[in-house]
Amino acid sequence: MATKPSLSVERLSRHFPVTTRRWFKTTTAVVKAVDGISFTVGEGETLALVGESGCGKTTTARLILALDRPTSGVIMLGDTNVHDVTGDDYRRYREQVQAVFQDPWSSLNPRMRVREIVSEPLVVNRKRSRREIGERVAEVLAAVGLNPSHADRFPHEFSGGQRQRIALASALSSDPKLIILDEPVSSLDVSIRAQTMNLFRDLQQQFNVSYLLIVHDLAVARYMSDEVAVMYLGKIVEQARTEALFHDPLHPYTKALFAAALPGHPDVQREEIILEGEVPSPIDPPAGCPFHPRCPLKIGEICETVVPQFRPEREGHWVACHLYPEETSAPGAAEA
Amino acid sequence: MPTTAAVQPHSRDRDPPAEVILDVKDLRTYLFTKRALVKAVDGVSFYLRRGETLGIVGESGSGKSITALSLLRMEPKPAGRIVAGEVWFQGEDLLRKSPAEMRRIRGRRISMILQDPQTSLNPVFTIGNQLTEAFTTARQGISRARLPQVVVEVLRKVNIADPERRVSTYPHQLSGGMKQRVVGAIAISCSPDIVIADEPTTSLDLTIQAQYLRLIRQLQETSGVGIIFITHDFGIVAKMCDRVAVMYAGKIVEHGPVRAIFNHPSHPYTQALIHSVPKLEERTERLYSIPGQPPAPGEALVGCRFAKRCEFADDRCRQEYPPVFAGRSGHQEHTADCWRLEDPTWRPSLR
Repeated sequence: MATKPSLSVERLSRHFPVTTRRWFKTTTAVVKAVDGISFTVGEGETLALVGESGCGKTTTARLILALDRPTSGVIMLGDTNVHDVTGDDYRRYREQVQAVFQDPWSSLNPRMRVREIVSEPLVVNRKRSRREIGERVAEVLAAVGLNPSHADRFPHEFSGGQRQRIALASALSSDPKLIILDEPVSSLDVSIRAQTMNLFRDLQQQFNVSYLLIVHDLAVARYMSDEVAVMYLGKIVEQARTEALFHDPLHPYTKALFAAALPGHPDVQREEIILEGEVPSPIDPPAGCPFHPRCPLKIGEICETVVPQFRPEREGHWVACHLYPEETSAPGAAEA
Repeated sequence: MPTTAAVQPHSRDRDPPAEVILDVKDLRTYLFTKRALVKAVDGVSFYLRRGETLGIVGESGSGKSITALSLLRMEPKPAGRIVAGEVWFQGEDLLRKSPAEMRRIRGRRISMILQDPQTSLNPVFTIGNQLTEAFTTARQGISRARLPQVVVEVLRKVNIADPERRVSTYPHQLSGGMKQRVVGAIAISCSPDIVIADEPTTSLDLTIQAQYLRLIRQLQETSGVGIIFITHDFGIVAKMCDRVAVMYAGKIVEHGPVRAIFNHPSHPYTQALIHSVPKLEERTERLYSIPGQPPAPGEALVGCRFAKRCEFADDRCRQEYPPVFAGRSGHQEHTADCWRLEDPTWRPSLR
């Protein structure tokens, strides 16, 4: 990690019980939506969580936003343990972690004016005067490129790109340390995406905020992030600095994702790795490496029986795969 | 980046050009809403050759989906009406056909795959039922006794594992990728000449999308079907299409072979779009961002539709719609609607 971490997540798990009700409720299975993941987000940096639907990206986001409690594991923001805080500390925590969601049509309350939406994180805390709030609203609206007269309008008067700006203004208003961006541009039109991504990047610098970017589009991850973690079935299978990962992906799943991504030019020729089948159900995940049933590079029985350790193959480049055994170990101990 | 082994050569490299099977001329579909007259498709011309893939790219509201629907006379009613144009298919103008005649063309000669497989399948009938229906309504002369076998065969064609068992399942029991394959199976069930695919992979995950695109390409290679791919994604165009038409606010602003467009984008909008998409293959320092927003539906449009957002626009651009000029690649099929192209040495180069 290049800078000191703003958020650190350690061995985080969230297991959902699957219950049936006959005469009384019994737990028949467990969905391991998030299963022992660890990562840190550096101050003022962006970590991208990449993966397909059902891999646990959104559950992770919910846990960090304290919308859900983990089964086990620790989430630390600075020196605060997220799930230990109560009362005022909890409110302060909510101020420091904000989110921008995928769909700005459903994430903004249609009955609130832009001013109310943007100032909501401030009002909740009840520590600022009305004037301070007004000034802050004008400031963040200007920062996202909207003008002060927009403050009295309603969300329906804006286009998708502008709505996403309002959502970002609202997230920024309480001067947070971390903003979770959950697929922030995928519902926007192509010509609007670039301006929105550029805005996110500029404001990160200006406000020195960290982003946890949840995204399925690898090209967006490359453009927006400093570090990338690839998730599969509730586990992080590979993590590295963005450029290191894109230059030399190690995990077969990452390689397959890259191969499946659409090219930027008709002459781009990629190795054709098309995974067969679909992501297995997290209720009944495969034994051993969760990826082994679809893995084109499976080396043998070890993949089916032994869970690969998530360990650094190179400096700062972690991977969980039996193709990279312990012997070639780089500095740093292996971790479960 | 893995860029080693080559994929199999695609049909886009093939010449000479095959015969034109669909020829659309000056198609206009307007939406007559209470608030405004929306010229959703405003004079669009293009053609499709046998066995080729044409991409129609555009943002939402550009009119690409309405164009696709209009080809089959399925423009959204009651607001939508095709007010002018010709759609020539097998020597006949589809816009002059009776509803009964159109029913014999839809699904049989020209079929469609829509974006969301969840809504294109009927939730209360089994997969087998729905496929059987596709075969019987098309009156292909398959005997009742043979039908179940034919249905299983077509499911196998779209790579559905264990098709004998799958015929008796309902749509909700299948994953999104599988449902979209079933929709694909229905679309190809009558061996049509043309399949119109409207964003067929947007609801699918990346690895499932890759499977589905490969399937489409395989089906095309074996059957020689012509495909019209409606998409907002230049990546899909780069991967799948032979030719591409770029739509903006109801007009095709640039048209040409895929490589000509990627290497020599001649309309400022095309160029801006290509430069505003982040690339997986290389690090982008800063994306070009197109200022402003696409025109709102119903906005009165004079002159070039893109003029408001264009770096190169002048007064004439804002007042008069440009004629068709040759594109900068020099390819004879490459055209673009932009006044700047009047100067044969001009090329759009963004900041």
